[in-house]
Amino acid sequence: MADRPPAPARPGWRHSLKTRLALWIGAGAALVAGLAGIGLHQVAERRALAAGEAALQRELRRAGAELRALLGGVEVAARTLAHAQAGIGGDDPAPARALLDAAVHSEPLLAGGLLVLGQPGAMSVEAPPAYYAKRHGEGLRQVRATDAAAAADPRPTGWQAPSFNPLAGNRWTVGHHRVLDAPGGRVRLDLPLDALNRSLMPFRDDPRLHALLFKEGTLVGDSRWRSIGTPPPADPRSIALLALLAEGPEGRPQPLADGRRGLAEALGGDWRLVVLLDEAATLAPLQALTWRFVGGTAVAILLLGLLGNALARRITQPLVRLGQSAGELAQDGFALPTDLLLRKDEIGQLARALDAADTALRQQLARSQRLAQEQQKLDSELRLAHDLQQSMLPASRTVEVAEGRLELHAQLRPAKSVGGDFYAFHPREDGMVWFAVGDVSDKGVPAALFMARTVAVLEATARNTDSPALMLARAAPRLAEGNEGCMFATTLCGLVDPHTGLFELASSAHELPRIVRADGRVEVFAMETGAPLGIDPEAYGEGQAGMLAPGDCLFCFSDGVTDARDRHGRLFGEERLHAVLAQPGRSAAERVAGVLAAVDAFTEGAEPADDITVLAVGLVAPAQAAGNALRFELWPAGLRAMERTIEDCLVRHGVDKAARGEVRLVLEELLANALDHGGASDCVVELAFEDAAIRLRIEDDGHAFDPLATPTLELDADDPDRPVGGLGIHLVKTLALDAGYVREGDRNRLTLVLPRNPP
Amino acid sequence: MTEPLEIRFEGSAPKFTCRIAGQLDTHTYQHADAALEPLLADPAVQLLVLDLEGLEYISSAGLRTVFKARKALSARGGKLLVANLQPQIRKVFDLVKAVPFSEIFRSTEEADAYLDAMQKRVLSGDEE
Repeated sequence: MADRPPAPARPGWRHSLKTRLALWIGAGAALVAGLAGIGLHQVAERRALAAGEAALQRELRRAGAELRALLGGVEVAARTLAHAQAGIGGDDPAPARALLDAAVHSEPLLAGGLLVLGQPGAMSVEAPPAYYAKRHGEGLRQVRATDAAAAADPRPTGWQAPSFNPLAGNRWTVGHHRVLDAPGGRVRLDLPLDALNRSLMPFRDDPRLHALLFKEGTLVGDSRWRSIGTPPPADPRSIALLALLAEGPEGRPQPLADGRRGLAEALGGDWRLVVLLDEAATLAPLQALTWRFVGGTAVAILLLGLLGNALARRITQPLVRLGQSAGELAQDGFALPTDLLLRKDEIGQLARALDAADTALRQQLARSQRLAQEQQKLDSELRLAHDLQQSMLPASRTVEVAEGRLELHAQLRPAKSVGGDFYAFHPREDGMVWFAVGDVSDKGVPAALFMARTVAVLEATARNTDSPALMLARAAPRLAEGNEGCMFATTLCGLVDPHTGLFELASSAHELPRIVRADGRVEVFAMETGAPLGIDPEAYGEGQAGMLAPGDCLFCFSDGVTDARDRHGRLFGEERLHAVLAQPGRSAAERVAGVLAAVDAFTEGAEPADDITVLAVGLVAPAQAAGNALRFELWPAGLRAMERTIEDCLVRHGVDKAARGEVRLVLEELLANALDHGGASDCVVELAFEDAAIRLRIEDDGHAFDPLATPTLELDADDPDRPVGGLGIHLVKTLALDAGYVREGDRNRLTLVLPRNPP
Repeated sequence: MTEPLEIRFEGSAPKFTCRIAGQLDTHTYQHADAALEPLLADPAVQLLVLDLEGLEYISSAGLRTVFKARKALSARGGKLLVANLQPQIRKVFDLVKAVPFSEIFRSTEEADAYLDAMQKRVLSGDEE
């Protein structure tokens, strides 16, 4: 089993779905709570302030009414006393004193009253009689007032500033003073400060409100002052406040700079009541509520977050389990937990999908393994096929004959395991050696199969056919038959005579072979070629004969050699091939190895593109070859080819030009004569080299004819009308050093000896 | 395969020079015959110099072509001269006495000089 990649790490808490869900829920709740809280707070603030203002107005009205009634009552009592005193008159103070008691009694809150009765003689140094009626329990007690108390008060009728009043029992009082109609008389009713301040008592219970009572510019009462019986300390700010509110509109509380709102009401006379609403105190309960709301909301959000986390855990935990399981997908023992598979939610769907993926993966794995096994099997079959194909190719071979030996050496290098190239050679019963080189279109197995068939057909036809051209002609229809795949093979087919080196080749569109001469010259063996085998049943090439001299080599190859490419895509080409071949004195095996080594070096590192096949046929002369005759047959190549091969042969045996010309002349005259006039079809020439002579043996199957027996020709150079026949025979007879004729059976045999170095 | 025989003509009636190069044998003599045929058929042509400097090989078939040309020309009083024979050709010509010794020249110039001299002789009426 191949190594698996490590399982992916679990996501960190910061990336976990749980955290994100919790955070998002918390953030959402916080946002909603925040917006709602702010809205509610604003509404509540407005309402609280409105309620405060309403309370302010209500309390102001109430306190105002109480104070107005109290003050009014005192003023009425004083006025009544004054008017009654005027009616009484006289010097008796008793009625006046009774009136004083009645006046103090009329207002139960009064602390007491002072009555000063003016004397008629204003010049009197004695102080006028003054009486002070003071509350004593439920009743009153009148005392004679002191001189100081009875001293004339210069002020006119009205309320006096608060003062410490020893007469009223050491209390702070506010006196209402009224001048009597009688001269010098006056009355003063003392209202205790706590009676006034009692109206301000309800304000003490309301922290929002603050009431202030002014008399002219003096602060008389303050709901926040700890004692109701004493006047509060004078505060400049309170005085300034009075001025500020005096300018404001009546009825509605007026906002002040210090966060308070105020409303003032005149109580008559110079009394003035001011009520202030402290916004901070008004909103204080709301503030506390707000903090409680914030705290509660925070707790609720925290709880929601925890709830989200818990909910997310229910989702992520199965996901984590799925993730861990998926890491072992398609491994032995992989199984998804059943509870996950049975779930009806998305987790279940995911689990089932994973389960299906596991099944598919297992099937895929099994298929891959099967494919790998099949590939392995195919590879081994291909290896077998390769071995089989290589075993079909004959090993190198040497055919020994008296005149020397013929070496056949070949090598095939398939581009793939099996290839479409082929070669074959084997000696025939008649002593000729048959060989073939071919290249099937395409590569690989189909090419190899067609190649096997081609070789079999060629070998069969080669056995009983005497001409390579005819072999191809006979093989063509057999290979074209049933060739649905339209495969074809270029083939070069040949017969070589190991005795003489004479060969005939026929080609069906194959690469032209090269002849490497003993001295290293490389010649392209030009010839006509037919169509490739396999397509056209009637297509085949003409035969072409040639001659190998000792040391020569016929080199056949497939186009895989010249078309081999290096890493840069350059072709090996003919020039490189010729350069490798152009070396004298190499054997067939060495030439094959040399070319393959050159191709290998050239294609170093490149992918082999095509099969490479080379076949070399080399003729090697024996050491004692000079004494033995060389045999040439007119068939199959014709007179001209035979002449050329004999010429080549003579060149290689060091025969000079003049002697070559004479050999050629003699052979032409005799053979042309036998063919044209003697009806011969089968002519054989044998050449033997002697020290100073060349021995020719010419054999034909024509009519019996002894050229030596012809009459000597009369030659007259000056006669332009002389007969033109017989010149050839004349030349033969003249040039030959020695000649002999014999008729054996149906064959003419003529022996001629020509000088090796003619005069 | 390249044709081993090459024939080129020069000159104008009545005198032509024919350069024959290559090999004149049983395989090629028909080409030579065909090439010479229009010239020989033209009665205006009186003199033909065969320049054989490039001829490497000749056989009896080629000799017959030379004979036929010579015969055709002499039939109307014309003349065939050969020049520039290579040794092996000269040998064959000698062996079959192909043309009179006096009609073989070492070069075309020599043949021309001979022809000029002959023409003069005709013009001076020094005919025997």
